[in-house]
Amino acid sequence: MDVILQAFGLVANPNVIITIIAASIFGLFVGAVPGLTATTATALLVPLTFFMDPVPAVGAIVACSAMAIFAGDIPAALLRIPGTPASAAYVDDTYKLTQMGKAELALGACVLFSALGGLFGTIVLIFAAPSLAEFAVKFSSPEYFWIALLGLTCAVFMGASNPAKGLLSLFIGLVIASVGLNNPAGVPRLTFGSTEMLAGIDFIPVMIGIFAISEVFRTVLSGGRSWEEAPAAVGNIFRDWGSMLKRYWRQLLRGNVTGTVVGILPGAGSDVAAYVSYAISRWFSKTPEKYGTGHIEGVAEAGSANNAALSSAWVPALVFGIPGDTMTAIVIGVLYIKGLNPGPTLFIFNPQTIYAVFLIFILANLIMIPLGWALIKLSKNILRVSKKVLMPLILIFCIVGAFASNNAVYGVTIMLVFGVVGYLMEENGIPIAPCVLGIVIGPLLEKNLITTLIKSQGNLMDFINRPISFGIFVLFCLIWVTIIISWIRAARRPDDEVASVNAAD
Amino acid sequence: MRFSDTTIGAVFLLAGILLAWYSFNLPAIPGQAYGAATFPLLIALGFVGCSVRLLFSGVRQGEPWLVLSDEIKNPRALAGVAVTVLLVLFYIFFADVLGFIPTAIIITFAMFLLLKVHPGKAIVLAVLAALVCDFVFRTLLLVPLPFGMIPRLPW
Amino acid sequence: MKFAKGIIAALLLSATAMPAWADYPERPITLLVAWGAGGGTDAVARVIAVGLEKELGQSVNVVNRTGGSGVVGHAAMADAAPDGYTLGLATTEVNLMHWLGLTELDYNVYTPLALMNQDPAGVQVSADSEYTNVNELLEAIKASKPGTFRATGSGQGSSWHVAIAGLLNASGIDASTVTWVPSDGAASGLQELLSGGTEIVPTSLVEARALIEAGRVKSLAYMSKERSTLFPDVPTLKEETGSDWEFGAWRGIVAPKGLPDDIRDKLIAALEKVYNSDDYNKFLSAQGFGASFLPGEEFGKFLATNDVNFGETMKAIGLAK
Repeated sequence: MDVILQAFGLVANPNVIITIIAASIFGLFVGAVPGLTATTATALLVPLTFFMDPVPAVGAIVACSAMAIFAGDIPAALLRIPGTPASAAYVDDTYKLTQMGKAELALGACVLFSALGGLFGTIVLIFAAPSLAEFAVKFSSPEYFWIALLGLTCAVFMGASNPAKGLLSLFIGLVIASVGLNNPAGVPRLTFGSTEMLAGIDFIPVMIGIFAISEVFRTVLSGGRSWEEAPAAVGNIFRDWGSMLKRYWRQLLRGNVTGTVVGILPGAGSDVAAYVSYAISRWFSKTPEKYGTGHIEGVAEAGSANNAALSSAWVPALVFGIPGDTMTAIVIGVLYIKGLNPGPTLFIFNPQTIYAVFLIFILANLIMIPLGWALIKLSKNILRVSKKVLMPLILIFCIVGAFASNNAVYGVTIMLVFGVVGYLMEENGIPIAPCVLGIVIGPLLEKNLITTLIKSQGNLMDFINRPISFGIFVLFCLIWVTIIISWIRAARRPDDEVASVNAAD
Repeated sequence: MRFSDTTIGAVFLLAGILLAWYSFNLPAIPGQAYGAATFPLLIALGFVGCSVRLLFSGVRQGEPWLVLSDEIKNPRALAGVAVTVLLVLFYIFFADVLGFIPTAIIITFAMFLLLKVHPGKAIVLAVLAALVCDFVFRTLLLVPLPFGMIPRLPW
Repeated sequence: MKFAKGIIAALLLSATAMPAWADYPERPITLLVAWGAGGGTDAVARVIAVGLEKELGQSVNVVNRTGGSGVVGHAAMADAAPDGYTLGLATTEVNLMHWLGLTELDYNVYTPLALMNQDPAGVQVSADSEYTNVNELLEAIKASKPGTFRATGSGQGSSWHVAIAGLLNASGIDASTVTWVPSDGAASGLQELLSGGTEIVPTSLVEARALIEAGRVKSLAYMSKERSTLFPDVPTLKEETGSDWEFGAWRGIVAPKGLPDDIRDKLIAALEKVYNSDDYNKFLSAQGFGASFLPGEEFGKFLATNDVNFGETMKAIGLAK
């Protein structure tokens, strides 16, 4: 108790509070800009943390990263430009809600579930960090392989009316992920002799192209007409909170757990968490056909999952100095500079500081609500702008965002190519979500597949001869048996399939 | 622009075969049986599987190979898309030489005209947008947007 | 937004408040880094940037050009205009990637300015491993069937792969006896070690630091002339085995080839001041990074000998093309 009081003392200091608020606003701002991710926001803060005391330094990073992940939802909902990869999972739902004139519902859900997810992840971090970290470091390449494969299975639930096209989209994503030098063998693949392409195809410009630029094309094709009907207002974002919580508490809880688990595993971050939990949500939903059409259920689950993952990624980082995602990799550096060396001893020798950091986690997720509200108020003005005026501005914004992703014009090229690809895919009923999932999970899958094969000298038994990997393998088989049974049923009753296709349109 | 399942199937069947052929030619890790080729080969297999499924259903349904939507048939709309693509290409090739601000002004101004915004309003908005982008990204977020022929602005 | 502006403005002001004492630099300088935001190299670059800002009176922006195992960023450093406004923090990969046949580009395309840091490799095994010193480990490897021992910590043909392969080569053991398991980096390599997926992780001590301190990993030897200041209990390779093999990952500031001499000298002087500053040293020792400085020509000589050594090792173990 004494420790907690001391921690309170460390936090309840005007300097600390002001730093946290400033970092939060900075995080909101950077996260809302497409092309700049939560990781970029955190990295930009690092030089400033050199001049701060340990608690505000780490606190600033905590606050900034939490805000950035949530803020990515705002341009996603308003303009269909996901600000961060984690928001791409449910961009179709929030954007369609905005078009239906329910932007306040979409954005309200984003704030509420982001904050609750973050709080859940923090509670897990506070109470279970050491023991969960022990569990997480038991994961070796076979376990990750099965997890990645489970993640890819999500593609099946991503609303393809035609499973063959859904899988095709997934394989396109996997091919995109294989481009470049970043494969276990270190061999340049599909680079056609270009130095730039050795870096592979960066996820951020692809996302900007496939979602936002394809939308620009559609607007230009229709001469800006279809846009004018979209309603211009954002109402009270708090209005639906009570009913949402009552309706979606199960989704919230499930999203929290999924996000926390994915976040704890080193190497998989909030983007993977968002996709996986969106798919899980759809699988358990009574109305899966509504997903992707402006349905809040998936937003609730995935929105809470990505923020939960953000907090729980700190578990292996604090206990073993192993980063759970790119953001915590930065955090570990800052912790060392501030003399808070990660390790089990951190909880013994410096408990008041670490508890102060936890308090800041809670605080950051609470101030997300008023600050998020203010940002939404501010950015809703965008909807008042006529779409004819808005589209050229979006185009230039996208160009800069794509450029910023790796500070090179190569990003703009990728964006353009995938703008065309995204447009053609949507026109031809090839869903985009599985493709994006393939890009996110592809590298994880390949790395762990090849690593396991190399380690075992090609013995396939090594994929299932460890207890955890065998457990995940059994789960994987069970899920696929269920899926195949449902396919066979659907094939026997062709009327049903037609009905669900219509509903999905 | 809608392609029939048959066309999509045929295109990706070809893509799958090409990918497999390409993968076979990738070098191996010395002393290892699995390397750079393993994963693309599996993807190629997936491509072939999906496209055979699409070909099968496509041939059975007998859809026309290519359906042009109304928008595509409208030459004005099509020209609009072509201009958009050209504007982005313009940025890719000329931003380094001209600098970010002039390039951005040209692109946004052309887009405004394309969408029939009043030219006076368009030029004001285009200049404003370029300056704001420059300030936000270069000055606040330290993104190295190309200077080109424009001197560094006072902020 | 105002606050964000405030933060950044404060940073920029702190940098530009210093009087400029000559023509160069007249505008902000870009410092290219071939690795992602948040990594060790990025952190070093950002600290050097803050120091250079103080010395030169112009802001120094760190720009990450990642991907292609460093090829993309290192190529960008070489392709920039040699006007002193684009510098790069080059890393070990400069002397590795051309041997692997990934690029034509080698250290000759740069004007070397200063070596800023060097982190020698260690030989890490799990804390519950039966081997208590590096000789026992090497004996066991010698007697083992190929593939029994597996090592990881970085990509195929990258720094730590060469470190362990060179060690084996220098100890008269066929380097292919130990299977190299490619990984994204030290963190996922250490994760593999903890989860029992591999036996050896030949990364730098800094990267394994948290786990060594947590008593989960032990380091058997240090591939350097002198013991590490971070873990002085870890013996050097020479003390244990008598082998002369040394390997360190280094970081140094370079400019494109053809940099004018006066700008070069000014930058070398500024970098030396940065290296000797309290801030830089505090940062290095807090992170556990190894301090090591070589100015201009000497850095160039270091690069040349380093390159030849790597080439010989990589040819001997079949990695070089």
